[in-house]
Formats: sequence, C-alpha cells, structure tokens
Amino acid sequence: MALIHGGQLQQVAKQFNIAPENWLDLSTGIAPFSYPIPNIPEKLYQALPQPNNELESAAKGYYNANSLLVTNGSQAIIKLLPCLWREQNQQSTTVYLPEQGYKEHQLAWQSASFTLCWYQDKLPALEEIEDNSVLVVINPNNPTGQLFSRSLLIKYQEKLAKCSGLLVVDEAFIDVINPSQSMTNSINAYKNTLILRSFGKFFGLAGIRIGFLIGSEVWLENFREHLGPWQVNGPAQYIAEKALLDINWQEKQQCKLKALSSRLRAVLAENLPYENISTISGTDLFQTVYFKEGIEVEKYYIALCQLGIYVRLTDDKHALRFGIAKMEQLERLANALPSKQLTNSLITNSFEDYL
Amino acid sequence: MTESSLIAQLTLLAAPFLLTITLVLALIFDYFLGEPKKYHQLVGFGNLANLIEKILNNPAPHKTHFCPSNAMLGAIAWCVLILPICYLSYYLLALLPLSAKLVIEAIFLYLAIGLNSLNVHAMQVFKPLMQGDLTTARHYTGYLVSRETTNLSPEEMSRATVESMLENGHDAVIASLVYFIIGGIPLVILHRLANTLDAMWGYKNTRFKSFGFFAARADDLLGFISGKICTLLYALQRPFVLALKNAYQQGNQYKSHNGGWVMAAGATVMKKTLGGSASYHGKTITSPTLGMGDSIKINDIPRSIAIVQRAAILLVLIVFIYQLTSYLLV
Repeated sequence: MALIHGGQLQQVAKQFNIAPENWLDLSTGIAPFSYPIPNIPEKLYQALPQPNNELESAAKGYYNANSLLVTNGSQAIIKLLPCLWREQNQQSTTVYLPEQGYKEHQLAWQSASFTLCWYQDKLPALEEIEDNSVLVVINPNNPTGQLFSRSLLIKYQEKLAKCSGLLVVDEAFIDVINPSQSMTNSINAYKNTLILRSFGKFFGLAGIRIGFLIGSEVWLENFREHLGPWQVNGPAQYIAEKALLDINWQEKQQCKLKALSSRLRAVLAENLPYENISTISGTDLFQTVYFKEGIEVEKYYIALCQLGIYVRLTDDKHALRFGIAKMEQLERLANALPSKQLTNSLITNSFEDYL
Repeated sequence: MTESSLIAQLTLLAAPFLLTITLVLALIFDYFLGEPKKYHQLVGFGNLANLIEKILNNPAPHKTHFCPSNAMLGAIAWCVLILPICYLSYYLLALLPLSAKLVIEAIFLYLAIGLNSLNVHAMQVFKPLMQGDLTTARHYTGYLVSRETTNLSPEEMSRATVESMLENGHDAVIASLVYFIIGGIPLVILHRLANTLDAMWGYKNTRFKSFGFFAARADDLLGFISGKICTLLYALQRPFVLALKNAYQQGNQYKSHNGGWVMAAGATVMKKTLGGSASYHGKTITSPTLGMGDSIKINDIPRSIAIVQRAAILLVLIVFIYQLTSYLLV
C-alpha cells in the first residue's frame, strides 16, 4: 500500500469539497518562497540532459562535499539502497530507524526483509549497535525537529565503520540549521556513510525533483549504474546550478524562513488552546504541535480542513505539522485557530458530524 | 517351534527395520510418558559448563570487540564438555547386545525429544486464551519468549506461541530425530548438548561475545542441516513449492537463519503471516514477514502443533519406506 504524505492538495480538496485555490496549504516542509526561475536556454529543453560539471562543482561548493551524485530527489535512492547494501554485506539484517520520520525509509528496508529496530529521541546506545547493522538518522528529524550534533554522529560513524555497518543520514531539512551539523565533509575517512540532501525544500522548488547523494565514489558509481542515464532533466539542472551559487539569495532565504518560523510558532502558541498542547517543536521549515495524550488530534485536523486549512497529521495521529506560512497566510491562520468550530472539535464529535 | 527360536525369528525379521522401530518407540514413549525429569541430566551438565566457563572465560572488561584467543578458549571448553560424553555413549552402546541396544536407544532418544512437552507448553497458553483469561495466558507465554508479556494482546500471544512451536518443533523434535538417523545416540547427545551450550553462552554481550562464539556457530551449523530437513518436512504438508520458496527468500534474510527457514515454511503451510512488531525490553522491533496470508489467530496454536507432529510422522514414514525398499530389493 502506498504511504500517505503531505502535499496531496488535489485529493484533500476533493474530499472536503473546497476548490484547491481556496486552500491554505501548509501540509509540507517546503519553503513558501521559491528561487526565481532564471531564463533557461532553449537548447536545454531540446537536448538530452548532459552530465553537468558546472552543477556538480556548484553543488560541491554548497554542500561542502568532495564527491556527490545528482539525483532526481532522494526517493529513488531510498528505495534502491537496501538492495545495493545487501549486495555489499550479506550479513546485514538489522536496521535502526527513528520511530518518527519519513516513512519511505521504513518501507524500503522492510520490503527488503530487514529487521527494524526503532529508536525514539535518543539514538540506540553505541555499545548496543550490532555488527553489520544500518543506522538511519533523519537530521534534523521531520516532524519532531530533533537535531543530533555532528560530533555525536561522528561517534556512530566510527563505530559503524568498525563493525562493517552503514550510516545513512537524511539531511533533507538541514539547510536551515546554523551552525551546520551536516556530515557531508566527513565522507573521505568513512566509506560506510551515505548522506541524502534535498534541494527542493530550502529552495522552494520541490516540483523540479532534484537532490544530491553524498558518499564515497564507489557508492556513487554503484548508484549511477543502477539508476541509469538521464535521471535529472536539463532545465532542473540549470536552475539548481544557479540557485546553489546564489549565496546572496540563500542568506536572504534563511533570514526570511527564520523570521516566519518564529512568527508561525508565536501564532500557534497564542491561538491554539494551550491546555491541550504539550509541546511545539520544529525547524525553520516547519513547526509541529504535539497535543496532550487523550486529545483526538484527527478531529482537530478535520476541523481545520473544513476551514480550508491543510496541515499534516502525523502518522501516529498525535501531532499536527504546520509548514511555514507567508505573512498574509499567517493572518488567515491566526484568525481561524481561535474559531468556535475548531475549539469545539476538541470536545464534540465533529468527526461523526462530518461523516 | 520353541519360544526362543520364535524370538530369534522375530529379531531376524525386525533387523532391517531397527531404525524405524527405535524412532516409533521413542515417539510412543514421548506420547504416553510426556516430559521426563529430563532436566536432571541437563542441570548437571549445566553446572559443569558454568564451572568450566568460570575457569576459562577471560573477557576483557569494557572492550566490545572480538578476541580470538578467548574465542579459542570457548571452543576448547565446548569440546572438553561435549566430546567425551559423546564418545562415552558411543563406547558404552557398542557393548550392548542388539535387543537391549534398541530399547536403550529408544529411551535416550525419548529423553532428547520434547514433542509432548511442546504440546503442553502450547496448551498452557491456548486454554486460558480460549477462556479469555489473559493473565494466565501471559504468564505462560513468558515461558516461551524472552520479551515482556504484560501488555500482549491475544493475537500477539498467539503469534509468539506459534513462532515458538514452529521453531522449537525443529530444535526439540525434528533435529534430534534427524541426528539419530544420521549418527545414532552419540550425535543426538552432541546436538542436544550443543543446543544447551548455545542457550547458555550464545550471547553477544561483553562476557560471551568471544567466548560464546564457537558455541553459537556450532549450534548454527548443526541446525543448518537439520533445519533444511525440517523445512522440507513442513513444506511436504503443502503448498510444497511455495513453502520452499518463502523459506529461501524470507528465511535467508531473517536474523536467525535456521529459525527463519522453518518458520517461513511452517507459516506458509498454515497460510498465515508471522513477523511484525514486538517489544523487547522497552524497545520496539519490527521483524520481517514470514509466510503469507492472514495474521495469526488463537486457534492457529493447535494447528502449529499439528504441523510439527505431522513432520515427525512423515520423517518416520520416509525412513520406513526407505528401509522397506532396501529390504525388498536386497
């Protein structure tokens, strides 16, 4: 069965019978401001995409990495990784995964019949890590926003290298973290590390499907071979190249996201019924509201949808994740949150009413 | 015809079928007598093993890496504990006359197998589950699994019990029968004691990581052979090809190779799915899927026992057919 992700506005719009253009869509962790699309040379549309050295060197600069692979997003890598890893290490059966986080990781390893060991806020203890195992870290975590320091992850990297294991760090949201805790420049010493970087989230261009895999040359070659040619279209490569070089824009984007995420946090804290909230945590690309135990968060989610506000109900149905809203969108959110309809949803059976 | 010549005639007639007769006798003893006080002889062995481990095991404190010299000591300890007993049994059995040997062998084999005890353990969970007595069921499920049982649902207990039956059906029944067929009582003793030492030393903690290495590997190796035969015996209960395919595909990737193979085959025969999430000491672990079909329900517990019983009977039948064929052809 396919997993449910945020960003399914068409489907939700139909379900609640509200036209898509009337929605406030905060269901993803994608920046609300996109990098302005440059003028794209026509030949990039006309020709097959070529290996692009300019893009690679721009990416190496931005990601502070010596070797990387341009991918059409992390999804294909996540899916392929368990099979490639098994070819390298037949003894490997155990994968440590965060209980909360991008579920495609789980799906990929589970489909490949690995045994999954779940961890919560803390990584599994170093001495408990089994030989030949895989540790998947989402850093910072989405939806919890939890961040592991680079120095801590390096300890795990050393341990896994010693015991023929593999470290996978999904850094899809790390662009907004300052000072950076990225592991991208740790690859040289350790071949058993793979880092996934997402382009679309920070640059607000999820639609062009481009991402980067950072790892040792052997790994990259292996993926290149299995993925086949022409993974990323020419115009996307061109846009990414310009965006990765535009330090000026990147700095502005960081400032804007920082300001808006703290505004979002404030709006949520002020307007949500605080007696029902346990914590609000996140990054500059999203804020996640954790409700107290016993609260039926799904009802609240449905009530929000009825008001045309689309957020992400977490898989465990304990929390709502809000993407970063622009100023004018924040206003709509701030007005909607205290409304009767929403506050009532926490007491009455509005779910049944809706059905 | 005198009485003694009748016995002689019977013995002559039975001679080609000695193996079959011993197997049947052992299973009959097990069926009627049930679990013997068999832990007595194993308790003595366990004490001896503890003593030798205390003398020889020299784990480096605070070091988790593998230490070859300590592993070598573990291997020596294993040999010192097991091999003399095997040789002694071989030597003593050879002294016995044929008819006495048959009975003695049947008794030893009966002591090694635990089909009846498997059934007793399963029923201890099954009966309270049927009556809705979850507390008692959880208590007895705790006898079968190493995880905490306080919050287990009836379905989770059923799953744990079925997994335990299919896996222990191999360890405690089929493996002993197989090793008896291959190498008689000495090999049965070797397997039983190797299995015991694995349970005592086969851990990946600081104390046993190196010292227990040989014990764990030896048990894996012994189980590898009998596990494949057990898989076949489960699979023969059909769907044959599908059960073998699942055993190969799902079992090879499973944490425990031998357990994976037999459980995948058994679950496929039951048309059920094993695996899924379980809590071990506060940590949730999701095991890969074994078999195919619906998830386990309470009344799958007796079905899993039946699979082990049929596997044992099939094995005896195969041996009988083999002996009959060679008797008729020679």
